[in-house]
Amino acid sequence: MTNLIWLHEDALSATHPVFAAAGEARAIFIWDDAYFKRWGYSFKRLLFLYETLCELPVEIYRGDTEETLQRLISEIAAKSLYVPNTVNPEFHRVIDSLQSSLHVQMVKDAPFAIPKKDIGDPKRFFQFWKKVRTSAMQKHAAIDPNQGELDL
Amino acid sequence: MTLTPLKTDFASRQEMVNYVASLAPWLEDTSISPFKGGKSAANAQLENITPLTYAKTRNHLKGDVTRLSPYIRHGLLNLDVVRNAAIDKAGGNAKHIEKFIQELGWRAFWQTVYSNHPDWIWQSVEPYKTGYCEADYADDLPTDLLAAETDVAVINHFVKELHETGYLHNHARMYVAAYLVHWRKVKWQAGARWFLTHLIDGDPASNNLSWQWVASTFSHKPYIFNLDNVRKYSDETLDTSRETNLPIALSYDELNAHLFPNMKSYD
Repeated sequence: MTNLIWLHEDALSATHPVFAAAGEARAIFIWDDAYFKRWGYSFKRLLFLYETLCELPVEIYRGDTEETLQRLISEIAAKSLYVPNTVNPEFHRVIDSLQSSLHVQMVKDAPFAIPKKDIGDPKRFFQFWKKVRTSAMQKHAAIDPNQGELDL
Repeated sequence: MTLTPLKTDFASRQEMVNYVASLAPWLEDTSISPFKGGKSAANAQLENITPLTYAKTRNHLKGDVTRLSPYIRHGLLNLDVVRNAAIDKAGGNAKHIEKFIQELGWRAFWQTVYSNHPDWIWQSVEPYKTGYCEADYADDLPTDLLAAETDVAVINHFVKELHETGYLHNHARMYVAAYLVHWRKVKWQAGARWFLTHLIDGDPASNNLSWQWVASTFSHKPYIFNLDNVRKYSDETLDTSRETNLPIALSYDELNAHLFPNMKSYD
């Protein structure tokens, strides 16, 4: 039984912490025609994505995102699914559905900033910047990406 | 039946382009952008950034912007890596590149808002502050805009650039968005969707919330610009003559009176 990594369009990187977290795993990308049509992606965008994918240790499967993930999970009898953190609500819905079948772990990337106080619900940039500025102005080693409060 | 993975090994880039075209038969236009995908291209672009000259020149259409956005949007480079590389380029002194880091912060801000309010990507956060309401704005993009044949030469230039390259300088994006929403009275959602179609770095958070910022549905007031402003931030490769740009060849007072006759002033 191996783990599965669902690499999506928000995290096309072989150095994302999801790889370390998943250990022995197969990384997959779902090429979802309906998703691209829904978002109205031009060919320029698809080509950029595809060219990027060709440089990654990832297998590309074409089909509906949730359906294809479910099939792959069954086919390889995946132990757990690892997913790079994302704010995309469509991807969250897929993750919520899959959670009934197996353990799903979202993994954050190295944070841009670690705010001193709770970020809250900022509606203007400078409300937000005040809270993250000090941290953002420093270099950070990616010691523990899951410590970051920013949901990125 | 076992799922078969798609082909990722090609003899040439053209072969890959043809293959991707075969995957997307619904797309008639199969022109590609100047941006090369992949981590090597991302790292090469990162090597070339000049964050020290960014602050002074970033508003200029030919300024020292990094063009990293496609790589950042799709996670090939994250904000941490870019910030760290920029600080190194500034000799370790982040104070010299605060403006640059702040702009990275804008992406973090938009992502935070999107995370807290996924609905705000397509729904106006606040009412328009223009003196008009939602119903006053058209649903569809004007055909002359899509054909880059509007009555404003600079806008036509930017539309062509968007369609042909999948990239626009941030300032040009603001000009186009303002023109569409405030001069042509089209809903910001139509513009946002159009940009997401073409921009290689198109991100629902940054893109759609920025359209709302221009529109005034996520800001205190509408963003507008004029010909003087475009002249200040462009060079001779852009046609900024008055005759071909009449709708924007006015002062801000004149534009505010003309575009927003019903706008309430803040007393």
